[in-house]
Amino acid sequence: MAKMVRRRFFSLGGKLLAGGIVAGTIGKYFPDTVAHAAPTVRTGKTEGKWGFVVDTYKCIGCGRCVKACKAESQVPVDQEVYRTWVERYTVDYDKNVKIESPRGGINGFPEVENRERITKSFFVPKLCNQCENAPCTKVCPVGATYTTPDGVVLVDRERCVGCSYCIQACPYGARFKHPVFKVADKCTWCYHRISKGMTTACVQACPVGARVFGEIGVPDSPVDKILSEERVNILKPEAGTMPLVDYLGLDKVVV
Amino acid sequence: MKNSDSDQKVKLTDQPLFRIGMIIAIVLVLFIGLQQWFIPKSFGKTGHYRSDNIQEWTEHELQYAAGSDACLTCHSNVKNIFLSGSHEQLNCETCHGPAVKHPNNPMDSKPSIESSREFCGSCHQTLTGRPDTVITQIDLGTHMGFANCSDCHQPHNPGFKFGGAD
Amino acid sequence: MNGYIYPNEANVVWTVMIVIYPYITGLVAGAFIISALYHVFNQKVFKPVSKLALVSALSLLLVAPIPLLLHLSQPLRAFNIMLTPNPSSAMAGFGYIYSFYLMIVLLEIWFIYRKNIVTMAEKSAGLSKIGYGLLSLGAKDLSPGTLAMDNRIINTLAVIGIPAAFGLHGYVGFIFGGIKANPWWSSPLMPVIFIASAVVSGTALLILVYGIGSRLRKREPDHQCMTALNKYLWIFLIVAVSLEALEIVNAGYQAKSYWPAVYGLLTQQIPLSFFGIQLLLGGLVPLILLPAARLKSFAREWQQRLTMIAAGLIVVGVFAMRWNVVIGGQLLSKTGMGYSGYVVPLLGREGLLMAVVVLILPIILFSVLSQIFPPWPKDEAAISEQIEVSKSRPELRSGTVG
Repeated sequence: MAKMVRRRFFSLGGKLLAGGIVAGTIGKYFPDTVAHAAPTVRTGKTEGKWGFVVDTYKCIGCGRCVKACKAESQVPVDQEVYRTWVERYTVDYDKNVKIESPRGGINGFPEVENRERITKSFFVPKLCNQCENAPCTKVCPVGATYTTPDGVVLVDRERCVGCSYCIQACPYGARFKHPVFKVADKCTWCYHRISKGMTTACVQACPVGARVFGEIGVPDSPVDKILSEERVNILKPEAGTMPLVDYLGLDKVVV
Repeated sequence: MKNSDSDQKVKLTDQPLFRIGMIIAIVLVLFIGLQQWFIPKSFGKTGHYRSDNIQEWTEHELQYAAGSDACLTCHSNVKNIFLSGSHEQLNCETCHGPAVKHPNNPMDSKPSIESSREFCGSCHQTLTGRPDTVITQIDLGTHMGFANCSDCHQPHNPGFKFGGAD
Repeated sequence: MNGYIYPNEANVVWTVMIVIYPYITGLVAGAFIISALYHVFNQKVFKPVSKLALVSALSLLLVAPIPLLLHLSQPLRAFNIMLTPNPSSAMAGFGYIYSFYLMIVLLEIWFIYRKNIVTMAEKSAGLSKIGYGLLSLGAKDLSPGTLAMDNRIINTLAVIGIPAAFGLHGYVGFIFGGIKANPWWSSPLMPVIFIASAVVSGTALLILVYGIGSRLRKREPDHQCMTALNKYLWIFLIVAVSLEALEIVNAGYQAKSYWPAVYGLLTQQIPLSFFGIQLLLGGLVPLILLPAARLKSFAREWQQRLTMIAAGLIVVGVFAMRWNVVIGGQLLSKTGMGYSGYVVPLLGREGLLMAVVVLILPIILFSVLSQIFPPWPKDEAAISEQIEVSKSRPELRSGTVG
């Protein structure tokens, strides 16, 4: 009898083990499946160590961040490729929305023609969202782009074949083909800086503190403070990408 | 045709299926061997990627310094006036550009010094979308003719004006 | 460019080469399906084109990776896709699925032509004797038992070939359909549409190759075979066009947030290639032409001519369909507020000239391969077969059934 029970137990154990392996494999290939299986809604960051907040109330559209980014990350200044860029939204009396980002905003913005008709206007800086459920890393055929253990999405310049599938998969237009290295490129949150305890080049260059970067879950972290006290939003929440960049004052017209 | 009289058993190794099967087997073995040979050592250690690449990214060359502290250790003449004015919240490199090489090589690598109206105006010119609660704004077209900003304003503390103007 | 697009979208990254790749693989599928209809579903009427289908499939399949290599900005690393395929990537399967498919086609051709190869190795002299000898892999036995075994293997391969073909095209469709960032691509219908249009374009191409090839060889194409191809093509086309229309109707009816952007894409950015070429010239016109070509009132010659005109329109229409998906999808900005622009450059790796070369390459390859693997039916065999078929299936004699 005992033997029988034991055998039954082992066979159950075997089934559980097999099930676990199958579930684990499925989970590995479809991470979002597992993440969404839990009925609780997660709003906090679990995987990432870092956080980034953009304060659209503060941005003055000077373009310093775009310039700093291109210099720091060796992205050709004269080409239409950007790791970060700034958009200006203007809404007029007739509720017409105009969006513009001339040369990514690197040289600032011109004055609008019909200033007196504008009812609402603001700047929105954009950069890679380092999504927790990143569509770009998911589609890379060769495993050349990936999320680091501390939550930053990087591109391996030695493995990338340059198929551009990740560029297609990013809903935010944050990726591009690097004109010099001929591989996919994107914002790394200045991984070479933040891993040395510095802040990102764009944050450092911003004269008004419209960009805030820091660790999460650390006492007195400015990012943590904003995330726990302020009402923030993310870009394209319907895409289910779970971005790590949060926005203060994000208007519904922002794309 | 040859052999047509004897449909007796052909030797296994002479059968088409065996021959083509061998070719496929050889190709497969070669492929698996090559695969093992060419996959980078650190691939798959922490995920489906080459984990050495994380280290490579941390070694990327710096252009911007860690902050203004390093600048102010040498440029002590600027330190007091800078830290007492409204530009105190800025980093030196916001206006002077990337300068991480300057401390080690002060003569060869000089940060930029700009005081043109356009340069200051890129932040201070009134502009649709620019919130006036965040930054002091003027209209370059009407403000003080064509004078350079630094003719009147001390750039490190713009509230301080030369020549007693206000 | 008009409206607002993200600054990084100024460069369209998937160029005309990515239009050509699914187009060429699609042409492979149709040829393959016809071969399967003959071998698996015993549609003897396709005998005259069964070898032709396979040889043209091979010519296309061997060219298929070339546009991809031309597109990769690091082509020397292309093998990475076989070394470290990312299991969560829709694209990673390419290396393995393509290799598998190529293997099936090669095996099928080898077994079908084995008798031919062995005979040639014995009859011919010099270089071609050595060549055929190597090609035979030394398996020179042609006893009835072995030949029967060959036949069983061919049938098995044809059976495996059908899911393989569906797999390859479904997967190409999924590469686009799985991208949630792009509303014009993101659709579960995409793989099905790709399979349907692949079968359509491949069957149409086979009609063209058979019709034009026969003319060039000063032979009349087998009429029963042409009529049967016409009928199958018509049915495949009905499926493909309905699915493509369903996709648009569904998106427009649901009118989700992205619909205005898609509507603008179709009506302002690609109206000619979408409504004009893909749906009208490549869809509706052949839908009418194909059954019309089977009308008894037309002379045989005109029946075949109309069938070929319809097939030609379809082949062009499916190219437009690939263009509308690949390029159209990228013209549509992810902002949903604007469109980028794309003009094929004349020169360069991804230029117009190179595209033309890639599209001509299968024709050159076909003429080379057909020297080694004669794809055309021996005339007398074809005629006797024709009589046999007509006898066994009297309804086919007139060639105007259905």
